[in-house]
Amino acid sequence: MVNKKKVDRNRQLITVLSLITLVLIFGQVAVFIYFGGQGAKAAQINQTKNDLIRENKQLKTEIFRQTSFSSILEQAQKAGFKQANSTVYLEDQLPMALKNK
Amino acid sequence: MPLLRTRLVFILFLFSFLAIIARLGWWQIVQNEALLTQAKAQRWEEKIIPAKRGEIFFTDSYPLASSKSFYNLYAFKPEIKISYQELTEQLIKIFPLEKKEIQETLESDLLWVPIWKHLGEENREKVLSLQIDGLELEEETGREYPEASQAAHLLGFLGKNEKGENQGYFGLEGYYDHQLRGNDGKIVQEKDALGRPIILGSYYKSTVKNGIDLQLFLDRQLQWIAEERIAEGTKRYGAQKGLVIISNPQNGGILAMATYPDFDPSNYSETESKLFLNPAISETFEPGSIFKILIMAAALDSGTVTPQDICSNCSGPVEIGEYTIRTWNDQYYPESTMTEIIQHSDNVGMVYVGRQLGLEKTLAYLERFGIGQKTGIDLQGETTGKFKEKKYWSPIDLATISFGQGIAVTPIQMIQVVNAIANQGKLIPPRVVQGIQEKRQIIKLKTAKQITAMMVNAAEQGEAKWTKIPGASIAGKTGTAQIPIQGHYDPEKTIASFIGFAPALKPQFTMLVILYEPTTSPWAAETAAPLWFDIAKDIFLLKSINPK
Repeated sequence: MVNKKKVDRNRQLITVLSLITLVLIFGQVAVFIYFGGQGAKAAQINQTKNDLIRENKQLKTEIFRQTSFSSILEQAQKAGFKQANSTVYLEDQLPMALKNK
Repeated sequence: MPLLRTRLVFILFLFSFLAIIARLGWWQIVQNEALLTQAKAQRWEEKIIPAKRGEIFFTDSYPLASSKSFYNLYAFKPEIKISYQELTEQLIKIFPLEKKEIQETLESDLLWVPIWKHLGEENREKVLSLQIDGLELEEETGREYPEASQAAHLLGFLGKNEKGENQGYFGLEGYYDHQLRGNDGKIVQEKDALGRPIILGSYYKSTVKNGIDLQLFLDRQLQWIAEERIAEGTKRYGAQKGLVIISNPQNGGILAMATYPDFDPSNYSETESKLFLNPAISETFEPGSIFKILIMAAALDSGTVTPQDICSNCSGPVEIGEYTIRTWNDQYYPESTMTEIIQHSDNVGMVYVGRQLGLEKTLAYLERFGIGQKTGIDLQGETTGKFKEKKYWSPIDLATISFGQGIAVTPIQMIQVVNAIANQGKLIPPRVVQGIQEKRQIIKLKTAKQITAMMVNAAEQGEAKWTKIPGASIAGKTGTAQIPIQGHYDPEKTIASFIGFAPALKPQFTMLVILYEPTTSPWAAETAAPLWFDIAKDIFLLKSINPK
């Protein structure tokens, strides 16, 4: 004689386990779908990062180019600056008391 | 009949299975490697992260050489979706290329064809804006020189080795190539069918190790002045070439090193290879009278002479065997003191000093000052002159070496000698990259002071006194050396030099100026010395040094 109660319990257990399995399967699919989409996002972020690094480097290079002596000299000449012809060294001033001696 | 049919079906199945087995064998055994590679390429993305080559900075942290990305443009033919003609039309709009040339390249048997090399950022943007499938840009690291060809000889250049990899040659790029280069990194990542990275997939990464940056002692302002002045001076005095080295005597740091003519490191392939050699470290010369300070320092330090000692045979030419030694201007100063011998740059007087010192001590002091040995400066390509063995030295060799002939030194060795005198008798090897150097006392403090006083007197009262800076305290010495050619000295050509330091009592810099074969005058007092003082004036002004 088959125990009907036991059969029902087993049936319920199988149903629950099946449901859990289904939830897990769909969950996994959902997770993979979600992260699959994130891959594109990660690639995009990586691309943006590389672009920013490149742009930063370009700006640095441009700053160095603008502040090089040859560039400054060119700009100074355009602005009308001229090379000093002679240099005058200013002596340290003597204290008045010593000057009068 | 049914049996026949059964057999036929059996045979059909048998052949089908055999065909399948054969095909599987073909894929799994014969094509194994190719298919594996294809599968890996579909599943894995392998990306090399090129190590950034270390940058080289002046002392003010402005780059002398910085890293820059360049791009090589390739066409991957299987992915090109437009006709070659259309692609060519698009490319010639942005590149100065011949239509025929591109088409021939595209029609070659290769799948991966190079179109254009060494593209800058601007051209890269142009290529990307075309949005053509199959055009690929490969990044490579190169060099950018914000100050153009400044310090080219000291820097060297970045070229390619036989494997097509970046390699530094000459100067700093050559000497520190290994440290500057670093190690490339690699990322291996699983990707999906669209080539996007799989976040939860496998991921391997070997870390990129960028090359180390070099911080130099080199001063941008002084380097600029040295380059401007030596170019102008070499032309003004009609010399073959010119050289300036400026150093800090306290730490041996090279503040400037300029040679004219120089080369453009970003265009090294268009330069004659003989120009790559840095004459400051890779060429020897007979120093002439600037060497007298070393011999005099040795004589003073060993107690052989004192500054007030009188020369007993300075009244006329000296005969040594078959040779006659004369002074540079055939004027003689009997009863000269040692100070006056340096002041008059008296060859006969120096022969007297050399004889008093003797061969044994002369050789010992040459070694102490590092003559005949490389200084160990951190630049690729240093050389040194060698002495002959002691037993082969004759009296005439001892005589000529006392006034700087018959001996070969490099300019950097002479800077090392004068640095030691300026640094109270302590020798510090010259250095370009910042670091701490060990000092070694090679002559007494008293000797350093005595020889400094002699050099101050020589700068103020010697043959270059007309060019001195009024009121400035400068220790210096001129040198005019004849050039040895095939066993004799050229009667007309000279190497004119001036070496010294300032301010004499508290030296801030030592400097050597050399002009090779000046034509306006053969004498250093009329060529190298005024150039030295011109540069010194600029240094006093720029560095706010009180020249007194």
